[in-house]
Amino acid sequence: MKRKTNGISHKRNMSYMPVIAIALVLFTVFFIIPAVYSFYFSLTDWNGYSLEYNFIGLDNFVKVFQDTDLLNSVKFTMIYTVAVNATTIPFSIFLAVLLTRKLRGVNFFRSVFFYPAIISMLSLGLIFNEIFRRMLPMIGENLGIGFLETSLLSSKGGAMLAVIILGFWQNLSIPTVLLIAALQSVPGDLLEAAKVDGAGPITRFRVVTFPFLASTLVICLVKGIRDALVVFDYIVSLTQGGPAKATTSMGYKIYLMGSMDMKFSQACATAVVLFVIITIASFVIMKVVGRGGIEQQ
Amino acid sequence: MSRKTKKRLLDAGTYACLIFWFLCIALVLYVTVVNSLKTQAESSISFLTLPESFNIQNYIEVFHRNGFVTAVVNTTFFTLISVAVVMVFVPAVSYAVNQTFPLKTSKFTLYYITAAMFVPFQIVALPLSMFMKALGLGNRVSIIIIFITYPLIQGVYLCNGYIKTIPRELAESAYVEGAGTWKTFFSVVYPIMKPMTATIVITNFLWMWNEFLISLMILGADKDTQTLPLFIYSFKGQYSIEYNLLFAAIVLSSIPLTVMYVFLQKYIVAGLAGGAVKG
Repeated sequence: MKRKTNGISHKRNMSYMPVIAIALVLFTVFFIIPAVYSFYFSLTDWNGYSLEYNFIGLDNFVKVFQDTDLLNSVKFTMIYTVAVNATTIPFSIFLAVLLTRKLRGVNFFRSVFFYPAIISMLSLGLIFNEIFRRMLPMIGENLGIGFLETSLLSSKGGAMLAVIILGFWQNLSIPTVLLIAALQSVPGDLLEAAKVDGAGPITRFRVVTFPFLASTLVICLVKGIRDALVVFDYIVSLTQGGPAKATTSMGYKIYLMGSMDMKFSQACATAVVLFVIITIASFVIMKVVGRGGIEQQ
Repeated sequence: MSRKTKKRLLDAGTYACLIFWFLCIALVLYVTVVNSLKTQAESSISFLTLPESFNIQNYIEVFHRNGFVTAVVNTTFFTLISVAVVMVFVPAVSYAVNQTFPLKTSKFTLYYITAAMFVPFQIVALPLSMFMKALGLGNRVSIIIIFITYPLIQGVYLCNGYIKTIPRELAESAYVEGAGTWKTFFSVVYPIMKPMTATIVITNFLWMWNEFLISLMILGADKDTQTLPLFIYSFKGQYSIEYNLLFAAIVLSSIPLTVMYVFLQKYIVAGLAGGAVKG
């Protein structure tokens, strides 16, 4: 039997195999098998407890787009994802540009701006809950500012806005840091040359700087969209999906259906839909935004 | 307008924007800390004023609450054990894959594990919690196994990229001199991988310390194995009116990471930035 080899003796190759085997076993048993189970149960009507269940084909998947509650969770998740990324990405470019100017104190701002990234999402959700529910209405009453008096969390649109504000507040930090690094990789003489040729600051940014940011922007967007699509902690702690289920994200809905509402198979199907959305979104971004950039490294 | 005034205006504008965002961040942190030091009567007058006296009564109260100390011990235990294993395990797996690369097994391993980057945790979560209960490993072992396994997904991808940049001759010469395969790894390759190992340690430390969904699914309402995020969450449910205590609990649970951030800022920023690079 002739094998494809790597020019290393069989005995030596074998000495690496135990470690690879441990990794494969752990990963298969604790990640792949549960994931496969999810696909499997998504085709059934199992409620998570009963002893018997039936195969019902793609019914659960059809329901994701027919059931009012589920469709609403898909809609909210999309709105949240688009809103958070459409705000964080431009603002992080803006902040990164400011933070790479040679000014005194810039390092201090950098370290403060990054701090939100290390606080737990759950704690922040609880803090923002107190701010929206108690602090702002209290300030509104004391100062007689009408629109502050009712809590943002008590109306559907307001609660959605509150989740987006929290998402923006925390998720600005990592793209900013990544973009600072990318901006610092833009060769100074290239900018200088463009300046000599008479290009204004906006043209310089568009023509010279932007191509250097493209690959970083792909990373920020893929990560940002992925994180937003699976949003769970913020919802649990800030709004608990309310009011009137307006902020029930897909991630939260999956949890509710799977562990509270005895709709295990429906939860699995929704998770599969979420997986498909993430995969498609990631590939589209890599293809569309990734083009026209300069490969770094 | 002269060049100089133009630059001055630009600088002033820059500072104005930076200070504005600084205040947005500082306000949230200020509200949290200040109200953790106030009595509820003081907070109900205003969230923004400083406390009349810095009383740490809330903190003492949190310490005495059932479950807080257990949660601190559990989170510390799960995080430290898992990080210690991940720190060696992930680079070792990546190295083994790299060394045996054109072989089918290692090629398969690399794509099999890294492809999971697109899989949301939700798809695994529900069957996983049932599966873990069925295996009967107990909550502690279950959570540690998960904390050790999941870092492979991103870690193997990152380490593999990093190891490729290390010249093969380096390991080769050590091997020829008679060091075994793993001795070569620990004495030659592992030290070179330090920056990447640091990234992996930092991203996973933060993840494990703050992790909520997995712990909620696996540990559920079990008081003995409760982690800090679960404690804070249950705290919220049980004593939702005592928000001053909630703030104190949040501050306490964020202290370790904050202290780490103050001292290891450079590495944490670089680590999280490096860890995000996975598209």
